Amino acid sequence: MRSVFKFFRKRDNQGYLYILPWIIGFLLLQLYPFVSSLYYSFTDYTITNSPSFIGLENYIKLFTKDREFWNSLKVTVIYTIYTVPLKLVMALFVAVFLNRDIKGINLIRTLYYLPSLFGGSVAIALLWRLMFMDQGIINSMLAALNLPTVQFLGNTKTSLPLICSIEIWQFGSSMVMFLAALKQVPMSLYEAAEIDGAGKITSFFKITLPSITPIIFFTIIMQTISALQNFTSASVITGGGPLKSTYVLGLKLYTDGFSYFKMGYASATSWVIFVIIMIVTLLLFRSSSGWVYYEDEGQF
Amino acid sequence: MRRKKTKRAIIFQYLIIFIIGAVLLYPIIWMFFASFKTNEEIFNSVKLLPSGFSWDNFKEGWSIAGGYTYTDFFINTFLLVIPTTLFTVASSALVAYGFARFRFKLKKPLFGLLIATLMLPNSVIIIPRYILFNKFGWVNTYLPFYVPAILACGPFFIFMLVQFLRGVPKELDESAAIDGCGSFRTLVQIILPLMKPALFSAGLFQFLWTYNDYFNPLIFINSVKKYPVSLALRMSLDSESVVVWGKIMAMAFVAVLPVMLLFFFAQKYFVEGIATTGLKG
Amino acid sequence: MKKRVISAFLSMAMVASVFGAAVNVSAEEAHDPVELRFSWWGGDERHEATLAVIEAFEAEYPWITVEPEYGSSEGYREKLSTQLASGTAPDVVQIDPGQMPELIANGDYFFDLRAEGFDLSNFDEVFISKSHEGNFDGKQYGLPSGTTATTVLVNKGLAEKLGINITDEPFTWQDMIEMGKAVHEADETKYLFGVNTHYLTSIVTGTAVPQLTGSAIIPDATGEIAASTEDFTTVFEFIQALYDNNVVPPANYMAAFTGDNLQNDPNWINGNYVCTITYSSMLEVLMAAAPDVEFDIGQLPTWEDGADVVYSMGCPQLFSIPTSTEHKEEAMLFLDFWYNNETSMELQKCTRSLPPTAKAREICAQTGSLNELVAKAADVCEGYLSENSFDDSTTFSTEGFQIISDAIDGMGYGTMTAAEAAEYVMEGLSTLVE
Repeated sequence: MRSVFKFFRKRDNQGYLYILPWIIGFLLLQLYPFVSSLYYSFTDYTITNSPSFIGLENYIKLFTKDREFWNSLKVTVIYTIYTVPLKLVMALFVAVFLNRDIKGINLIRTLYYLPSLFGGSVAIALLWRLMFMDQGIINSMLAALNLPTVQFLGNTKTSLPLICSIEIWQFGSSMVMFLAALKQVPMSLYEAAEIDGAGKITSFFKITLPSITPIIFFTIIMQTISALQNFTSASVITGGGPLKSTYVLGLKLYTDGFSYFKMGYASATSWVIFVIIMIVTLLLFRSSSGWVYYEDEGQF
Repeated sequence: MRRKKTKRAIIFQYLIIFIIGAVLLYPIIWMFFASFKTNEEIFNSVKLLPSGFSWDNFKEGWSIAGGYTYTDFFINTFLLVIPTTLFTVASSALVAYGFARFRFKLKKPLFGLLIATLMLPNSVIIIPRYILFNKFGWVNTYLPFYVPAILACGPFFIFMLVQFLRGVPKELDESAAIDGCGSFRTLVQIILPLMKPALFSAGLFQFLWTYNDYFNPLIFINSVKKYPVSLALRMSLDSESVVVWGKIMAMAFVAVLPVMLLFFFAQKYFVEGIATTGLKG
Repeated sequence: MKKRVISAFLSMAMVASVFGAAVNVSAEEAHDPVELRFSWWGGDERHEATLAVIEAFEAEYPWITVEPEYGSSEGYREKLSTQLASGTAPDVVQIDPGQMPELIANGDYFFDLRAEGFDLSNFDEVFISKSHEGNFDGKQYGLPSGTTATTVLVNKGLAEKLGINITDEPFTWQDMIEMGKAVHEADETKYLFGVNTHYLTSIVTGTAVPQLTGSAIIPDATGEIAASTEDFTTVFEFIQALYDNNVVPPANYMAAFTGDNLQNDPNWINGNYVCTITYSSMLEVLMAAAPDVEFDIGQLPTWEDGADVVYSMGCPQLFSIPTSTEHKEEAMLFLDFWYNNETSMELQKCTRSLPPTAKAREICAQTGSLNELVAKAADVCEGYLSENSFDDSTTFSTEGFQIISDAIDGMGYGTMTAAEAAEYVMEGLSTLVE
């Protein structure tokens, strides 16, 4: 008992106490599903039977016999490469732009955030379909400007950008986070810079941007993880088509699991996704020391 | 301090705001007007404005078969979402503080584990999760939402708060320690106030996500009387019936209103210039 | 107090026994209250009708309360699989017939209603002996909730204007090519046959191949593929011709209206299609979407020189009792009431398409809830019924369906020739059969 007290006397060890809720939560509520899914990936579990062990068969089948897998992987990677940077840039640009004292700024910010409030709403998905339909509003506008009309939904080359567009349109969440981060930058820094004669643009690149790199980093990681798993927009707008051009991995695994009841196989797919995400994340973390500026000087 | 803005600059500023806003909001404006249209009008014409302004879709959309109305659903949603949000913010703040401000032995691997839990797609852990929650007898209650929130099962928020925290100077902690503050007092009196924008972001997001969450309530809630708004919204989407899209648009709009208002009024907590007063030279 | 409780039970029992022989409550027996969970998907109309039946049931069996769990079809399948996987499914469930084969793959999830002694006297024995209607290897794992007929829905005005008569005159699939060509040449905005990939797979391929070969693609009885690659090539060449001759709208146009979304197609709404082929359960939805069009029911296409008719009456949903239930007796009582009680039949109306029993159909016709055209659709289809069983739950399981669907998409987008599509399908189906 004494040694327990002594242990927690040392301030750094008190960290364990603070993270205790998470540890309990993890052990109780997350470990079991986590490990179960790994176990299922080595079985032939079809929801309607008891899982029986089949070793690496699912994984082998995934990599060698499943044509859909490689296509979905490609689609997912392209989707991620489009959406993450674009969303980031939009959010950053707009956040910086709205970080000022203008009349009605509260309303403006709310309105800009509005698209994100709808989430994966089916209403929005329908909207997108209606807007980009052959006779939809977008094509009408293109025609009015004497530009060629595009078959957004039916063309395998435009279907993926279409799905990306709805994602990028909902950049509001990142924008909100950047706004919060921008507010955390101490005014004194700006004041000092102005005294030293720095212009607005210099201020931005030398003070603002570096100060919010932790949040930018966070956004990149989270958006990448979420993009690699995403499937709602693809599922609701194009159903993965046409010709599987928007059949992202998240949708493939959802279909395999809940439509074909191949839960064992879907679990294997999800663990492959997991590994991919882990590798990407690790690389991003490695790179972060090069450009992310922390107040605690990287002493994590 | 600020250069006086020229009138031209102001007008130009508003112009940009307006253009970006218009492009962003066009879909939503269209959606709003669609809630006054009939199916035929929606699918057939490109016009923005409806031919008539009947509130039928709103009126009819408000109640569903079986005598339940959106009043019930909104109440359910708030019962579900508000506690979940509050619990999440509280527990995430504690855990983030632990990770960001203390250096204990297993920190790096545990943090790695935290991030790892984000990487497994939800559709695959839902069945084991359901089995687990069922064993606890939590199915058809809101406990599958409350308990994970209390136990900080939102790695997203923990990670986010950690990042925010790493932008707050450690000198503050140190000077507080010198003044004799224990770690908890430091947290409550110094760190938390500085984290207000971050905490409100976290709260807003959790509120929004839980509010819009369709899949988890679908799986865990069986009785119609306990349905939150997100489930009710999709009730009109049956593939075997005539879907009245105007009704769906109308209710989607009504559903988004509370969150819009929440954000509008909560904004000032972001804006409250957290000009870190503790930082002197 | 005790005396009052007993007398309350007695009076309830007496009242109940006055109301019908179906109630097996003897005056001395008191029943423990039972709560049944009943899940279904549907739209508002169906919910109201179902809730009315539940109310009537509860009145008849006062010790049973039915907790309704209803919503739309969105996510129903995922929820049901999760529930079945963990043994928490409701006591009575509505199921998509397309899902059944996958669910009963190990046979343990649902009760065999025949073995349980369910009263099937109102049903047409032939109808319910098919796998699509819940009968797998003699075991009745589910009962059809309604009857659907394959139907050709015709835009009367347009057909007349273009001189096309498919309502009185029988026609073949092959006839459609010439007809369709003429239609589109006369007016570029019009097409003969408004179908998307989904229906090209389920109805067109699903009917044409058996008509050509005289057998189901993968008969349930044998579990082996009974069609050859050449057979598929022949049928796929036909489908290719549909695209090439503009009999059907282009695949990339229809991409926006996949699945059961024809009612959202502006072409449909504006009456630009002479006809479509669909199931009678979709008729009311389709007709409601195009209120300015006058509709009629057409004949059903056959394959030139092919096997005699291959149409069958299907069903839109099944009802089953999961074996995980703790209240089997009461669940059986409920289903019995649902199917065999006349009040129930009347209250259900046609919210699950044509009722599955002749008696219910009669009642609906009498009370006027049966749509004229839907009734006509059933009549027409009955004229084309097969005597043989073309039971095929493998080909049109979710996965099998997707294989054929992908092949047809390939043709529609020009990435596959008919021969390549046929090979793709054979390969896919062979893997499925393993």
